[in-house]
Amino acid sequence: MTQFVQQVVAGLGDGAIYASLALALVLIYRATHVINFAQGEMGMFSTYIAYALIVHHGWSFWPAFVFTIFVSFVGGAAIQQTVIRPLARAGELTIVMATIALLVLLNGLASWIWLPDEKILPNPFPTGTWSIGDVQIPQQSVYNLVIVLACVVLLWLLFNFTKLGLALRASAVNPVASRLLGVRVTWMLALGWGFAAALSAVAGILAASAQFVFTPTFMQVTIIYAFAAAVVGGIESPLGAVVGGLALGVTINLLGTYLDEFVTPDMRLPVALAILLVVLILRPAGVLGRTVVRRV
Amino acid sequence: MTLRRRVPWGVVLALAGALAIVLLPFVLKDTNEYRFAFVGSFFIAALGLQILTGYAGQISLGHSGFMLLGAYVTTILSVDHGWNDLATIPLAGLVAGAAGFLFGFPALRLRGVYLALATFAIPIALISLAKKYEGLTGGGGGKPLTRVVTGHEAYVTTWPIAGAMFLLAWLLLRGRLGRAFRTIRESEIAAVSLGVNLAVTKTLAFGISAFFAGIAGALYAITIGFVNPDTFTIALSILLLVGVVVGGLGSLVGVIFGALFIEYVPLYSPDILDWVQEPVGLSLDPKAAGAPAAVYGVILLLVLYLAPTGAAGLLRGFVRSITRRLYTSGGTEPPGQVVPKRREA
Amino acid sequence: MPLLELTDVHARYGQVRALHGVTLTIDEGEIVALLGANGAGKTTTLRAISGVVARDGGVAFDGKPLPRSPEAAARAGITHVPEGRGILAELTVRENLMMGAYLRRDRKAVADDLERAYQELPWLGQRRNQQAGTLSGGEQQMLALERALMARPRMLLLDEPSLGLAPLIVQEFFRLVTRLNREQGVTVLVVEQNANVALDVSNRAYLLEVGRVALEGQSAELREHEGVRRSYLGY
Repeated sequence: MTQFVQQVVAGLGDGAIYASLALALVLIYRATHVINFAQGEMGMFSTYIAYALIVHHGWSFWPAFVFTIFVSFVGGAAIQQTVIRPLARAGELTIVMATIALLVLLNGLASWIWLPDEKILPNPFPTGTWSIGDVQIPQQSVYNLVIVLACVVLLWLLFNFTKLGLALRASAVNPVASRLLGVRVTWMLALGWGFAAALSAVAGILAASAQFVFTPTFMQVTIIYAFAAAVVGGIESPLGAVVGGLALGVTINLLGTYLDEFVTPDMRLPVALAILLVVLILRPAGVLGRTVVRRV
Repeated sequence: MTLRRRVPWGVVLALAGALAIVLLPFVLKDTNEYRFAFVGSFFIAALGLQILTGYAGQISLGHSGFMLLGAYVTTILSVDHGWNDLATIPLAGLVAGAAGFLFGFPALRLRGVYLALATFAIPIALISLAKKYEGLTGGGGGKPLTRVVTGHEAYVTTWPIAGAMFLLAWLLLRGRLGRAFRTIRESEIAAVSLGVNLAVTKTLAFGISAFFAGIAGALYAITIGFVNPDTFTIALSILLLVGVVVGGLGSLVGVIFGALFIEYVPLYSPDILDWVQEPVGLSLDPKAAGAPAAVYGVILLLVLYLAPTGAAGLLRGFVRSITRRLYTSGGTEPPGQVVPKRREA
Repeated sequence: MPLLELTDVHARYGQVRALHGVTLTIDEGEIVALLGANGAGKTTTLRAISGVVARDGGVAFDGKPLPRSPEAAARAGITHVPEGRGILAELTVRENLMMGAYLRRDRKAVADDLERAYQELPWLGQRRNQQAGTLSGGEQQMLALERALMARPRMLLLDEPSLGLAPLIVQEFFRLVTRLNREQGVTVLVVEQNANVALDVSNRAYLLEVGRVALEGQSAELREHEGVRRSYLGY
């Protein structure tokens, strides 16, 4: 039982990272109706920026963290304006292709600028555990969870209680009508990408600091998990993305602990995907997705 | 009055392409023939993906999984059971095709993004299985084939089959099936109300495209002389999709451009970087880690921006501007004007 | 000086030209109807005004040239209620109304206007937290109108408001429009296929055919016009 709780908490810590990235995917999907395949690499690139600030320029962790998030926000908005917006008329598959091109570009750029060898991002969190009775709670996992949830709550407040948030939601729901009401929808789209980039920066930095080392490919499996979590949660549902990410983290951890004969580290991804696919077959629009009833 | 003679540009292009392919071996060195044989495999796989995504509108990121199946069928049959490797090719296609067909059933309930995620699972699952059942597949280390072919042999094996597959695709798509595919792409609801059997058509689309991928995988294995599960990752699926989009969605002829793009652009990225930075006076090292990838990403973005409808779209626009000039003899009505009939009470 | 003035406006969708030189004027306080058959260019005219569709030609609002984007038209005081109502379906009734007031900065007045809307249509207030997409067609049309009014526009562009609505609801809608025009002086340009209703409600009307103005005049006179009666009023 104690191990169970421990693994659940550890799973939540991992799941927080998936949740953050999944939420970023959902934000962009709601606004632009495409999956941004470059989301993981954007997070990776942000992580390298933080790394450069900390290791090459001597910043301490938290100022670097905040600054990187801000830079990522601006970067995400810039990418939307320069890369995505010119292709807006070309059809969704072309835009998806552009995100794939971005994926390749960012990956290459990171290797080019900072070299593909293993790097270490200092870990600001204690790596020990807290003891509650017999149960050992890993501290890092809790911190990861708290930080991601804080970001999620902040975004939730923004989207639901501010005029800007209302305009952001309106732009995603009906861009033409929103323009007719005076909303500068392209700016809203840029903001959406900015928030998504900030979320993926959080995911990347937390993930890298938890690992011993990281390389330019370190987010490439994470994005698959995040994509799966976002889709199965319901691709337009932010709550689905967060819950999906957390649930996925916990499930993978528990499977790895209790079915470790079958679920070796190699098998984690296929098994996770298999489970998700079963869910998807049962609920084709995702768990929290709206089943769109098509009017003929 | 506008006159327009119908020149079958697609046929002209296809014949020109066929001629080029026949003549190429006389001009190319063996290593280049070898590389061009890969273009052939990609071409076949991308044709299959074009049928599924470009024509039937089903997004698939799992195509590499079907290539993997074809590759392993060929390898296992020729190495462990003594088959002639060429004879295995049709079977490789059929096995992959059957798998694709079966995948179509659960895929029926899924659309768009949800379907894309489901297709992700195909290569991931198959790679894991290939690694797990080492006895059969040689596991993660891979399995060599019985013979190593020269570039010329690879070329001469691959391209006639590629030509045949192109014809097959063309024949399949010009009839009812092609129309059914295209209707589904535009609107599934409209298709059903027109009597298209959605289930059969969709599973057929998956099955046929997987058949193509299986054949491509078999040829790929024969060309390389070695099969390895990690060749067939999602990255390869994405690469094939790039090929389809760059060639032009919905165009069979365009696929050849896509195949050329995905084989040669990564190869020449360092040279392109050199070529671009010379007049500007930069001196970045094009062989540095990550540089070719970065250049490739930029090139891809430029291609998407400049030719969003792909090579086929560019060609079509070019052809249209020529035919308009050659065959139109000025009119007086503005295009698109329809004079409505007055309703008589 | 007319409030809105279109001079030889052309517009096209890609290669297909839809407007071939539309000229019309609207004075402040009027209700003007734009009539015509399917494809005549009525909706395109509204879209050309609000900037949803690219246009050539002169469009002047309040004496000044009107910029070509929807956001700018909204800022200038023109609120366009598009065909199909343009409801923000996943947002609530209240959120839709608040979006109507997006460009306004006077928070207190906005709150007052919201209350006024709830009083005018009590069911709107009762359902303020309901998702707008779950309202019926007629209710959505009313919501769209109230949302447009939240912007305190100088001019309303209404695109086929009667589309898909039962006749009684259409009557109710236009009764509201007439009252608003009379009491608050909102200028209205309404596009309608239902020529009967449109001519009843409006002071003047323009008849479009094939992207050009074919006929114009006082609504009462157009009612009696032989061609209009035969082709558009059905008798």
